Amino acid sequence: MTHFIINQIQSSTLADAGSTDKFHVVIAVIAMLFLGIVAYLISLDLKIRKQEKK
Amino acid sequence: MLKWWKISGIILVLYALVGGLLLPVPQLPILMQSIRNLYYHVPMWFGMQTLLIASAIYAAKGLIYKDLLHDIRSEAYAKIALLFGTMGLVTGMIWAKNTWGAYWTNDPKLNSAAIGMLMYAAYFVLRGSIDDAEKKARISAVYNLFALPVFIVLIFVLPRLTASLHPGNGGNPGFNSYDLDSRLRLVFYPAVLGWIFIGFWIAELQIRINKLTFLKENED
Amino acid sequence: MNEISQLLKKEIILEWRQRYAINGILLQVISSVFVIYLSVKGLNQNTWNGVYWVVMLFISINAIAKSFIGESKGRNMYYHMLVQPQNLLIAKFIYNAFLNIFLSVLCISTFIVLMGNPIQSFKLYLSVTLMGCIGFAATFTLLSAISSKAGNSNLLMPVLSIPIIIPLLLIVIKASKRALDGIDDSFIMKDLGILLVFNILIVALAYILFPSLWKE
Repeated sequence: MTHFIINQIQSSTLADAGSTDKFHVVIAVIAMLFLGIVAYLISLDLKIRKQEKK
Repeated sequence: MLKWWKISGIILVLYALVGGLLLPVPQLPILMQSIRNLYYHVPMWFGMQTLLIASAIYAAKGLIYKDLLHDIRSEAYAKIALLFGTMGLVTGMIWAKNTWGAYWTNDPKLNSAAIGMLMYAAYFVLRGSIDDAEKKARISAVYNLFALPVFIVLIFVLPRLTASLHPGNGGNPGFNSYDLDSRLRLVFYPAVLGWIFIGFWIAELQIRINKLTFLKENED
Repeated sequence: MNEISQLLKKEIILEWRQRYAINGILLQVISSVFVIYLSVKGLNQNTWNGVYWVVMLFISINAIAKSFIGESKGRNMYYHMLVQPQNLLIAKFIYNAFLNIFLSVLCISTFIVLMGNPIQSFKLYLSVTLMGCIGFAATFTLLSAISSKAGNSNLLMPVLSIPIIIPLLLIVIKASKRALDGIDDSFIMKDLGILLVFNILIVALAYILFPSLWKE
């Protein structure tokens, strides 16, 4: 029953919530942060692999 | 180069981070846009639980095969699980402040999560108090295997016995239809899977570092 | 079976010989209840129950902690050579369970004498307490073994036990609150069932895990 009702509820995006272009900057920053962490993990991974080969 | 699950972890989490903010969500009262935190808060708990189970499995293996490498794995998984738990707690507190009005409410799930974290913090205190590696492995594995079932009872059984502010309260298991709207599912499942992969990746790095130092110490 | 009863007998004899330990615990029960009486007069039902269980929690930790921690090194060697580890655990567990039940009855009586009796259905309250004591005994017996093996045991025992006992404590407090309020029996029967299942889980876990902890 709840399921039925919820599916009737309208979708909304953050743009509907009255945000502007600033919002895309936030997303970009978050994505960059995550990619930074990933880059660190990859470099660590490779460094450890080199050590393991020794 | 990298193993397939590491790459899919990166892609899935990146998708969840960006898509979680951009894709449409159901508009619900009180939650409003904060429902997007579902993609960031809940995967942390899934990650924590998976890592804790992995930790217990290696603890059991360590007890059976008496291999110290299993103990290194068990410790690393528990450590990263605690990291995920901390992140889950922080994201949850921010969410709670904005929807329930306070950082900390007397909610059984919140309290259970905090107690669970204390249990595993005690695990590390226990580890720290033993010097001999073999003894440390054995005793902490016993504690780990004793703590996990209690933790599961704490997380899955207890909150269901009392009313909770979390969805699925009052005797109803975790996720009801309210959470699993098809629009949410589209990002939520990839997020859970992706964060689990990332968690295992971080743990794997920790394990390999510890293994290297362990082998080096044994050489000398 | 025979070994367990022998160990149990030994446990009782030893306790009787060094009476200061048990006397200390009894004194602790009475004095802590008295302190509560002096500091918070007129507990309402809810706090009566809560405070009772908190007192029980700390008393059982203290009483059971010594079951492995108090053993001398020589005696431990003796156990290693002579007895099956599981039998040792079961004997200690049974002894601790009875000790705990005795302490809880003492604790309830002093609570009632000093702070009145709010309990509506005494029989059910006692059965919930019984279940709680058995669960406390099982958990703390294993944790006492863990902390005695780890060294630095006086610090470790409370650090390890308090988080792990909370799930059981919460179930027990809720169930005993119902017995205290005299709510319909069927609710408490369900709680007792949950407690029973939880106790079986803990005892089984301790039984399985203890041998690998014990052997050197």
